[in-house]
Amino acid sequence: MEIESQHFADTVVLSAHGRVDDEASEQLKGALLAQVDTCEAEGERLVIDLGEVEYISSGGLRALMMVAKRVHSQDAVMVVARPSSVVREILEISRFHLMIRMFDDIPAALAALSPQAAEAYGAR
Amino acid sequence: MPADAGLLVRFWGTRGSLPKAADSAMLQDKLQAALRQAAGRRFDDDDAIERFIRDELPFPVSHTFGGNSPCVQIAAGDDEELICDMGSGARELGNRILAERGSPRTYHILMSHVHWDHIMGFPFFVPAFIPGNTIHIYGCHPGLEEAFRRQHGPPSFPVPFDALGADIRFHVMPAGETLDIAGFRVRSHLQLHGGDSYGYRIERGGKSVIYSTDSEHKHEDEAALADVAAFFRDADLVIFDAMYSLADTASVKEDWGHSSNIMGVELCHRARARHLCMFHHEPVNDDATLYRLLQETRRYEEISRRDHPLHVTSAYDGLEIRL
Repeated sequence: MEIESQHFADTVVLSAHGRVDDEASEQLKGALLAQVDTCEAEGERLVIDLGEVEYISSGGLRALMMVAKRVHSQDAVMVVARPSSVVREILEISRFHLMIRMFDDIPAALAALSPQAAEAYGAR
Repeated sequence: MPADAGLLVRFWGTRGSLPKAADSAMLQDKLQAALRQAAGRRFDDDDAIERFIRDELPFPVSHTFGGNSPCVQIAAGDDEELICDMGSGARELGNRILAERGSPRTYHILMSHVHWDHIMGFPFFVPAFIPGNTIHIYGCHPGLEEAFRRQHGPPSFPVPFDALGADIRFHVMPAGETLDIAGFRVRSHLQLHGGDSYGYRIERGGKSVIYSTDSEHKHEDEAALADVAAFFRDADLVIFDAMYSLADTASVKEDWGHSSNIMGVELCHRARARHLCMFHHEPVNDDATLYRLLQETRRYEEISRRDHPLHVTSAYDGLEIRL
């Protein structure tokens, strides 16, 4: 699994690629928790882009849950964008989607979080 | 049941926290759904109606998950049995055993813990009132006997504990040890729950049943998850507290002492268990919701399966599982 981040104004889009199996979930958890801390410190918002994630294991799901808990406890702002149909199914069965908002695409996620970020994304 | 028939697990109470009574609104919803599906059909006799109900109506229309609090009977072919917990389902169980086998008889009851929903059936467990019966109650809580005695005391109940006719004996077991009880091999496991609870691994004749209710599993505690998976290892049946969603257990209902369907699938997959039975249902959930949760859990099992298929069911009052 690979993870890359991009800044659009005051918002970070963290994109994961590949399969989030139990091994990769530790990497995902570490990257997300670090990013949540940074975003909280910098006053930035976070979009987790799952568009290139084809599968997420229970370990990956647990990692997302831990990040969601951290987000709630820190009053940070985080959303999920572009989950594949299988990943969306998993997030809905776990009711994760009731903790963290999900959007079908990145522009919609950015528009919900920050007009400046949406504008910066459109001007790429 | 013949002597070599393995184990028979019967569910007498499957709700958690509080019994849930059926009500008129629920009955009317089911009748409407059944009549809607029967519209335009002709039934020549009662058999045709029975076949329609059995074969064509969806489970949440033709059945109910029921509303009694936890009580599970694990029977062996030679007329020996264990009873797990004394929730409100124990009343029906006691009446059935009395009707079928009479008295005197010896009962063996395993207690996960002594919260009210798990002991409230005992004052209505008729075998306890009958002289000649012997009732052994096993558990790992030092306050086991006190909890049973207290709910018989005034002003909660009119029959004092010492007035019960049966010979009732309490056995406080060391946690984590394996004991032989009525021909069953029983091992306890400390679980995360307010005031503690204990899961039991029950083995006999090469079959194994896990009774694990009122247990929370923390996502972040990998060592504890590995311990539970080892306790569940290769079990034929895991009766599992699936009261809440995974998201609830990680947010508003964290530290409430219960688990989720997702965690049940994960632990059973890790343990290579064969059958997950969701248990300790949230009283707020109606039959349609519980059935949808079962379908979702089966789908999640399919998505997350590694190399070992896991059968998933959801317990209901009256369900029988043969092992």
